[in-house]
Amino acid sequence: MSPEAQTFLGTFVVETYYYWASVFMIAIHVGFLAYEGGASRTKNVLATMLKNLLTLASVGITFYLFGWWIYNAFPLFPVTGGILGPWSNPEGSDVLKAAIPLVEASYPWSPAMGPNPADHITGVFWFAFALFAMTAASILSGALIERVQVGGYIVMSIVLGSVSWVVAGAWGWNPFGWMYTQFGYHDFGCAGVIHAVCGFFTLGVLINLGPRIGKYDSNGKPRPILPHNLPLTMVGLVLIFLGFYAFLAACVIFLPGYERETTIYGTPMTLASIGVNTTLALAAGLIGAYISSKKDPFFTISGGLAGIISVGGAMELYHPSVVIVIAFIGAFIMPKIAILVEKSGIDDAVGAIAVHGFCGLFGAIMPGIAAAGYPHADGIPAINLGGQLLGVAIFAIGLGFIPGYVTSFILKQLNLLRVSRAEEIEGLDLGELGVEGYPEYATTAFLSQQQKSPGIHASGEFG
Amino acid sequence: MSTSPFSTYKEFLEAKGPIYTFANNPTMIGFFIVLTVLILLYFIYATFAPRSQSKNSQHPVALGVLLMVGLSSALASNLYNFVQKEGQPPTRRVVSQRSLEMNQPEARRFSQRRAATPYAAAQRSLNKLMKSVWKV
Repeated sequence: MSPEAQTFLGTFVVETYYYWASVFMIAIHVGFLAYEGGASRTKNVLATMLKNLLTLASVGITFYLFGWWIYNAFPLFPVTGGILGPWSNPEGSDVLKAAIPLVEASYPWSPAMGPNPADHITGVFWFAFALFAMTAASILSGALIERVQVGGYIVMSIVLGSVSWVVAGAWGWNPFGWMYTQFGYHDFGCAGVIHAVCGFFTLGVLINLGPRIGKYDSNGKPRPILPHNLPLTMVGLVLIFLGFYAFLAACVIFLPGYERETTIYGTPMTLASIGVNTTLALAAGLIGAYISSKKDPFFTISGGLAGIISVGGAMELYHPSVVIVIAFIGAFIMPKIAILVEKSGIDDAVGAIAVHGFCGLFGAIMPGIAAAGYPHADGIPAINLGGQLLGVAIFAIGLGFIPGYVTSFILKQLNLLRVSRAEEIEGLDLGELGVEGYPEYATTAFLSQQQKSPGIHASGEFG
Repeated sequence: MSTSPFSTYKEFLEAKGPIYTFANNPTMIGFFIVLTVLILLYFIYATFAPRSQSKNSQHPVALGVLLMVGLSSALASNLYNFVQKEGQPPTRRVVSQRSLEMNQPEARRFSQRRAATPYAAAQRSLNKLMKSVWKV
């Protein structure tokens, strides 16, 4: 084999690896679709699933237009430099010299983004990051079901998926990010960068959105609104698990010419350890939530995800037995947080605040304790509790809760956040889409129509 | 406390062996493995526990302890009786049973061998206990 062919083979391995890892990440979206659809009531199932599906559209296009640029342009801002763009001078420093080519490759009009045999890598990294972004917005989607306006959700999905978490990624999941270079923040599996941001963004939105009609009685006591298809929800979660393996594999950095796999922070790691630790975190998470929730199927299955997120911060460093203990603790606490959230008057239909917000927070703090002292590159602080706490606090509040609250508050003032009371009672399937998810079954809508007009089918036919 | 086996980045980057947390502290790894085993045992126990635990008398621990105490008591009672019998003249019931078995030599030998084992005594106790539990 010629040296040119060997070099190309290295490039092709990298391109193929990220391509297929990203393809498998689509399982997360299939999972969210099933998870939310199952968690809704029959009268809202189609609207719920369609809303989730539209996340791929809203975030996909906006991530191309500006999300990818934000990730590459914001690592230095506002601590170690400004926002990078056509106005930046690459000769300013070594960091700028290294960072600006990445910024130039991220413009929508960049030659690197189109078919270009000179660049096999930029596009495939965009693909992986776009899937990360869609995952982030999907976390919000489930919590708002059965009362949010589709238009309002689309706006919020763009703010979260293509701006908020992307800034968090630029600061804490980027080799030039100031949170990493100045404070040693370490978050291999994006526990804080994605999950804490999205969980707290969701909290901000839910405060303005309010609970579903009937969720609380006149004394403010929560009432259960049961999923119409729990088996579908459970299958959805298993698909999310599958996608998470791919997501975490895509967090491994291996580029043409590399002699080892590294994290985004340049520290050594192995893909095999991700396989072992993800599996054990999933297992221990299921156990923790199963015990804690006293066999509640919804919480138990969410526990697997809670376990993985709880170890996400430094799962490439933890010993498997440490993973089991951390995942168990995170997932054990998760149902308690969900119940606390519910009792405080916040109607989180899928437990996103507990699973992603709390476990993201927990998972981002844990490296400061369980992986404390691991060195980063020369001149960059080692993993430390202060850096982890500072980082996740900024993510959860500054890039999660505040943007979520402000965006939803503005939408609420414009009457674009929530559907009307009549539409919510009728169901969003009929109200927004004009069709039912289960037209041939004796659904609640069908039976109420039968009571009003005996002899008329839900489709409007006589018989 | 540092969980890292490395003090410098160069050392970390050039590592040829384990890079995981507590790689230089097997005691801690052992501790976490013990915790793992405890979590597993807790899980197995929890799978047997009923979801609603309204009555303390039906708690699996209470029920388990009750069964164990009852079984132990019955076993001890039978073993005591068995030991006592060895040193005492046979009762009228045993005499009549033996006189009956005298006419069936094969059955007599089998019956004698079986009845003389502690296992048989334990089995009788268990049967008795199960009958009483079943009645409850």
